[in-house]
Amino acid sequence: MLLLGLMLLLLPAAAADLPGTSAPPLRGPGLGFSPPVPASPSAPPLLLSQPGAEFGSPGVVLARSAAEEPAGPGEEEEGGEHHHHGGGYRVVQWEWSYVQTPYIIAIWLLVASVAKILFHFSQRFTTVVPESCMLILLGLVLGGIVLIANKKQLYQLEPALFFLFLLPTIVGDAGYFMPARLFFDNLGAILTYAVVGTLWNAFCTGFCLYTAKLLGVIDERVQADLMDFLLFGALISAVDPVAVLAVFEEVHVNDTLFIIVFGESLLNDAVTVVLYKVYISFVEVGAVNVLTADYFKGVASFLIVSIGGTLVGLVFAVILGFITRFTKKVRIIEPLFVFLLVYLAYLTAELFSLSAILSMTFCGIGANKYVEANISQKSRTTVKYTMKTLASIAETIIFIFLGISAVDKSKWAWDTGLVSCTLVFIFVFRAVGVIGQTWILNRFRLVPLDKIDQVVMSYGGLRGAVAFALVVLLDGEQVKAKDYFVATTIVVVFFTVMFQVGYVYTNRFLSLPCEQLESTCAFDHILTAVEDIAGLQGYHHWRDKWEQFDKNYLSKLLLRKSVYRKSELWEAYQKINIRDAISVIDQGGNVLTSARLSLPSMASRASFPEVTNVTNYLRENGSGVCLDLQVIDNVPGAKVEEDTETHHVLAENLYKPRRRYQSHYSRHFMPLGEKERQDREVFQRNMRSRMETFKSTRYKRHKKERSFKKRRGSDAKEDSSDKPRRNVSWQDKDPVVVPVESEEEKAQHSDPEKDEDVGITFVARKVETPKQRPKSVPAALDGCQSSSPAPLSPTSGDSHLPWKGSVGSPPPCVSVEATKIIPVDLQQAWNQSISSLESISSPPAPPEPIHPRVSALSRLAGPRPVSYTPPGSMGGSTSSIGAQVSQGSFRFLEQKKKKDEEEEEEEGETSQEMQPLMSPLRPPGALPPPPPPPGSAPGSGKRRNPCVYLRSLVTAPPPSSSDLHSRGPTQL
Amino acid sequence: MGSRASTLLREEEIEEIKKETGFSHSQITRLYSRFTSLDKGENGTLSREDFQRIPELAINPLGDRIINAFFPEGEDQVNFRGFMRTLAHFRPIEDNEKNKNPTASEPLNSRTNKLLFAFRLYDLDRDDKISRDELLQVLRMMVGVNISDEQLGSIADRTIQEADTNGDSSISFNEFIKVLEKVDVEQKMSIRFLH
Repeated sequence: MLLLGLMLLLLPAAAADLPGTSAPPLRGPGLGFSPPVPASPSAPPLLLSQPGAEFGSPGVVLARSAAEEPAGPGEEEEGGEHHHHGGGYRVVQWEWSYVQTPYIIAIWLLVASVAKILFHFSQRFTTVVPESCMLILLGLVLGGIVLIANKKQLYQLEPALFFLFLLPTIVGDAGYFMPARLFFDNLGAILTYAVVGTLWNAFCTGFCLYTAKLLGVIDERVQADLMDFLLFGALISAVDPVAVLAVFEEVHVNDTLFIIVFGESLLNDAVTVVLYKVYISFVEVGAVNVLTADYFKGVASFLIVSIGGTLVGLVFAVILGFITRFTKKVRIIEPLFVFLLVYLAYLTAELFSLSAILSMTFCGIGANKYVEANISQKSRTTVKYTMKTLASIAETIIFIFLGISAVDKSKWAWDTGLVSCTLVFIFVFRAVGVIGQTWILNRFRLVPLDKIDQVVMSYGGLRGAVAFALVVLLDGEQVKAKDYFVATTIVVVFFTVMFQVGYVYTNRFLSLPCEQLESTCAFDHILTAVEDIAGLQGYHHWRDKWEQFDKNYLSKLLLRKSVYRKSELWEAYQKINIRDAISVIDQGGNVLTSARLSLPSMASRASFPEVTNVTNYLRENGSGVCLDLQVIDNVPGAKVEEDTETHHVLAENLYKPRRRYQSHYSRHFMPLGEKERQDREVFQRNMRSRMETFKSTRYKRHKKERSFKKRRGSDAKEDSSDKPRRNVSWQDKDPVVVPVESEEEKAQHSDPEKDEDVGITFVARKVETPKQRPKSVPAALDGCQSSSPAPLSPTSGDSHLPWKGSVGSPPPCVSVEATKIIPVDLQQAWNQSISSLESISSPPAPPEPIHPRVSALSRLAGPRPVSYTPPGSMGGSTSSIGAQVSQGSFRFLEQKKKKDEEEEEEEGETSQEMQPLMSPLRPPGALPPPPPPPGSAPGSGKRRNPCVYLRSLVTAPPPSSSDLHSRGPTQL
Repeated sequence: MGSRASTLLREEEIEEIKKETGFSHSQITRLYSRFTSLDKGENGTLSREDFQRIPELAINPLGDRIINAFFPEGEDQVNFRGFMRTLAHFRPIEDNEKNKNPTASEPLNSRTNKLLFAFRLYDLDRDDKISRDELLQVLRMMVGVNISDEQLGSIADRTIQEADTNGDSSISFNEFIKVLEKVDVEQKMSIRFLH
């Protein structure tokens, strides 16, 4: 522990010092940075002098067994200090060689992590300097320390370490969490840049360097011919995924730009690999002996490497999906399968010398959907966090090692001509290539890449560890100028990472004034929506085809049966639902006309769940704020402050339009599903407002008819129809609710495939439901606030809402088209809303003889209250009764806590109708059980609010419907 | 339009739409195929539900408002013509349109019309003013749950304060234009439609 403390203390000091200026005075870093011990017995300043004598002690295992206590590392050290004088039996022993390798690895990880902590200690600091630069600088410092202490660099980025361990973690993370839709939307551009761009860069750089050599700009000592330069051009021209990821997530570019550059950096791997190999073989045989056929072989090899790599990845994706289908009983190893198979995809591709990066990327992209659906929520979280952690640490280590490797002078030789020429060439050709390709691409792109984008892309041509590892891999015998190439590569990497990024980094934000911020944000939302309406998003035809294929074959194969069956069930339900709803709704499609009327209440419900008259509240409250503001305005300084604060608040909290979403692979900050959260919130709001609209229309009509009737003097009838209905529903509530719960439980027991997470949530909800009811119900006067879960208001306890805790959401349903857009656990809700919409908009159908299955279902969900409605009013106005009936049918559910509230306003009633909308938003397992209205009323299926119906569908699967049905009448 | 027979777009209709909206022939046919694919009822008009079926709109905070913008006041169906008219607001302003003769009626995609479209999204009651409540509603739609109502209220107040020049504590269309004077509305409210 002391050691760790020392390390912590030392690191800032070390980081602050310039390389070379700080002598390593203390033991702390000495151990941490000390090389494998046997290799450096001659490094007294770094090694602990006291225990030095024990290094040679033979028989580590023996000695270990003799040790009285299994000492931790820190204790070992101290023990070594205290007992170095003693002979004979030693209480604590120094067993460095025993723990050496894992110890050093652990210390390195620790150094990297602590460095990260320190960098993010001050927010201001990280906003000025990108982290990757800091890590490289830190690496330089550490390398300098080791070099000075040791006279010899012991650590450097080993290609094997890099390619087998560090790179896969990063690529695996990137591939698995790749936003597939965005990626495939931009696939054309990505491929162009990756293939054409990389080839262009490689050839131009190679030839121009050769020309420069012929012209004498590059020193004579650099013994290289055309092939060498082409080889060098190939390895130096590839944009590096590690650097791009690390840098671009800090530089907040828009999503499209990110995916293009990042996708390019991943896909150009095949090009780089092939070029590299082809040139190596050419260099080996000598340029003279290269036959024409070899060039064609090169092309063929490119196709094999890229397509083969992709196929390997996809094969492993299928395997992974298939395996996770069967892990229900062993949830605990689910994440392991993900890691192993993704990693195996990489290794297998390496095995056949295919493009490993491609393989891993496509394995991640392909498997993601199925794996996420198959594995439990907890496993999902585990996979996510572990991948992010590993990738983050791998990236940190890569950058530190890059810095360290740069210090080792023995490995490289400097030639100013070569370095400067390379820098100029790669920069110029990158820019030219980007501009040229963009010009062509923009003719086909919907959203053209503008000038700024092109600048960022040119600057974003970052070279990184891949190039470095490749250059280190070169055979010094074959490539005479290897040392020069190494030096140049290091410079290029540093230059691109530090300076190019620095440029982009400092110019990234253009702050907008407050009022413009919100309107521009609004503009973006509008644009996105109109694009969606106009259907301008990507290749629909192919996507539709793919989704069809996916649905028909892949999902069947790769998705757990429960997941898949569920979606199948849903579709069947929806079909029935639609048919049924056709007969339910007598009015045509004009149910949603009063959308605008409902919107105010929607917004207000979101904001003021406890206040009845929202508008008044706003006025009062707002004016108070206004006064405050005016007071503040008198103080100029305070106003500015307030301004910036407001701006900040706005900028933080405004929903990001699609085109401005940050990519979510940040490994420095776990974004906690920002986008998902946003989608969820918005989705919930929208669905609620839609449902509310639907309801308010009904309500309006209902009310109108009512008043009309009143005018006609049929009050008595109305009242009589009202009261009994209410009373009965109250009486009913307990017996009705209880059986459903048990039914639910039964369903849960009987469904072995069910996710255990759901069970937990389900229980929790049942407990919480009564608590929250009284809170929300008084607010019902507003007509919309009583929607009990009120997920947007913190007051009604977000904690138990499943989507908040991100725990306990059920395996997602796979819908056909919404899969990619709607948050996974909301897809059911989406399906429902769609189906209910469809039912609304469908033209009325004659009350034809109902399909047997439909009739069973309709009886199951049929509104019992019809039987209590006086027949007279039933014949009076179909629509009004339809509405009343539906309200009645679940009112007893909602009102179980407020039996005594006789003054139930119409608004309150209608607000209950929000419940169905709220319930679809919850995962089915967590639903409050729906009332199983006994279907004794013949023909009742005809007038039913589809919402009620929907809700019953959520919870009651069809096989159990007969159950419900049979139990129903007994409660009456 | 409006009849079930209108599954095919007639040439003269295309011409009319072309004249009215400025879309090119291929753009119109392309958008028509989109229109028909949205039109699940296959009756030549889109209802609100047809729009609401677009999954992306369900996660667009302003989705429903924008859907509303497609419907003329008091109607709940929109035919292809009206559909195109609304989309025309988002057509980019092309260079040759800028110096067209000024006597012609203002094209739908002019800056003013683009702004008017945005303005209408705020102005729910169509009294040509954005009141504080209306602004607050839109704000609430666009921000996450983390922002408190007081903050939001003060933001709304500030916005109105800064925009309001005639002291009626609401934003008129002229004031709206003025606020957004410096914003490149032409670019921000334009979508590239495929040719």
